[in-house]
Amino acid sequence: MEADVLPRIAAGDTPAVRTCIDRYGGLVWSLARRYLGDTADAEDAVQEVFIALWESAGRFDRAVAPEATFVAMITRRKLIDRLRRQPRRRPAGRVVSAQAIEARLADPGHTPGRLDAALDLQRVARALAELGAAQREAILLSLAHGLSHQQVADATGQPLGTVKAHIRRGLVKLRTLLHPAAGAPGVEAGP
Amino acid sequence: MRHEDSLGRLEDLLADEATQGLDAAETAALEALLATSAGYDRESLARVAAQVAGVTAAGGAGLPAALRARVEADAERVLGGTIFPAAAPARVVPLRRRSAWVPAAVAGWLAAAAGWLLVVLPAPAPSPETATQASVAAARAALLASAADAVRIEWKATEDPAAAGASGDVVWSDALQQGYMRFRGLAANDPGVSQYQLWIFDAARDERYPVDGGIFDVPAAGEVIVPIRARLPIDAATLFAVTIERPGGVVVSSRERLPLVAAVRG
Repeated sequence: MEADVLPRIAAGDTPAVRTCIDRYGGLVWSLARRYLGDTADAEDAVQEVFIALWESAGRFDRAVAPEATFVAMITRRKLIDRLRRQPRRRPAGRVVSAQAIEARLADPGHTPGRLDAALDLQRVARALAELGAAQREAILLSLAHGLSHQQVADATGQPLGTVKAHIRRGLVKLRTLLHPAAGAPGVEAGP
Repeated sequence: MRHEDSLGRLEDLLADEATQGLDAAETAALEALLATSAGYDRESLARVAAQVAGVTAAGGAGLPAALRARVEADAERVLGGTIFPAAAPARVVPLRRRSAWVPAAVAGWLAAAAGWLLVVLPAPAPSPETATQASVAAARAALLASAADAVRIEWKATEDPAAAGASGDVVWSDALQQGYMRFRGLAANDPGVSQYQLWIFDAARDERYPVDGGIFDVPAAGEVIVPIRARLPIDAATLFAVTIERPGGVVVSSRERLPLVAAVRG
C-alpha cells in the first residue's frame, strides 16, 4: 500500500506535508462543504482540521485504523464540534440526497486513484449494500452530509426514535461487516 | 440495569457521539457506562463512521488555491521552518529561428519526385508489431461485442509519475476469462530495467493475494493494447491494478510503484 505520510510528518520530514495536503485536501474540503454549507465556514474548518492533523500526526497508529480513516475521524470531530457550537439551517435549495451518494459509490468513474482508497471504497460499498434501505439512507444522510438525527428525521419523514435506531443498528452492523475482529465485549451489568 | 439494556444504552450513546456529538449529561452517562465495560473499544463506531464518510468524500476536487495557501502557512507556523519555498521565476528561453535548410526550387523537385516514387513503389507492408496490434484491437472489439458480461472500465491514474497524462481502459469478461488493457500516454519502460505487471483482485480471494495478470511493456509512443493473461481463474474481478516491477515480474508485489487502478462496480 501507499506509504503513510503522518509518521513522516511526525518525524520532521517536511516534504511529507505537501503530500498530506495533496492526498487528503479533497476529502477534508468535501466533508467540510457538505457538513457546513457555508463556504467561509468550511474554509475555516479545513484550516482547523489540518492544524489538528499536524499536531496529532505522532498519535497515528496504522494498527488501529488506516491513515485515511484517522484523517476522516479528526475531520468529523472538528466539523461536529462546529455544528454543535453553531447549529445552522441548511441553505434553501441545497440538495441533500442519500441516493446521490449511493450512485456515486456505484460509479466506476468515482474510483480513487490510489489502490488502498479504491479497495476501501469497494469494501464500504459492499457493506452498505447489506443494510436495509431505510438504515442505509439514515446512515448516508448522517455520515455523508453531516445531518443531525432530527434533520434526518425531517428529511425522511420518519420519527426521531426510528432514525436513531437505524443509525445505531446500521453502524453496529457495518462494524461487524468491515471489522469483524472489533469485538464489543459484554458490558458489566450495573446495580 | 440489565446487561442487554446497558449494552444497548452504551451503543446508543456511542452512535450519537460518532454522528452528532453529545451534550454534557450524555457524556457523563457514557463515561459511567464505559467505566463498567471492560475492554469495550470506545472508538469502534466512530472509526466506522469516519471510514464511511471518508469513502463518500474521497476523489473530490482538491483545496482551492487560496485556501491551500492558508493551510500551507499554518503548517509552517505549527511545524516550524520553511516548508513551501517561493517558486523560482520561470526562465525565459528565446525561440530559435528555424533556418530553411532546403532551397525552395530544390524542395519543389523533391516533392514531385516523392510523389512519383509513391505511385511506382508498392506501399510498405505493415510491420509485425502493427499487424499484431491491429489483430489485438479487433479481438478486444469482438469481446466487447460478444460477451454479455464484458465490462469496460477507465483507468484511474495515481500519484506515480509514470501515470502522468496516462489514460485508457480495461475490458474483461469473467465468463470467458478474457480481457484487454488499453493505454495511452503511460510512460514507456525499458524492459531491461523494469516492466509493468497487472494484478486482478477477485471477490472470491483475499485482497492481499491478487491474481497475476501478466507482465508487459509499453513502447515509446501512441496507444497500446495488451491482452490479459491471468495466471489463475478469476471468479469475479473487482479491481485491476498495474504496478512497476523488476524485469520478469514478481510473485508478490510490494505495490511501491502503482500507476493505474480500475475498479469494477455493480
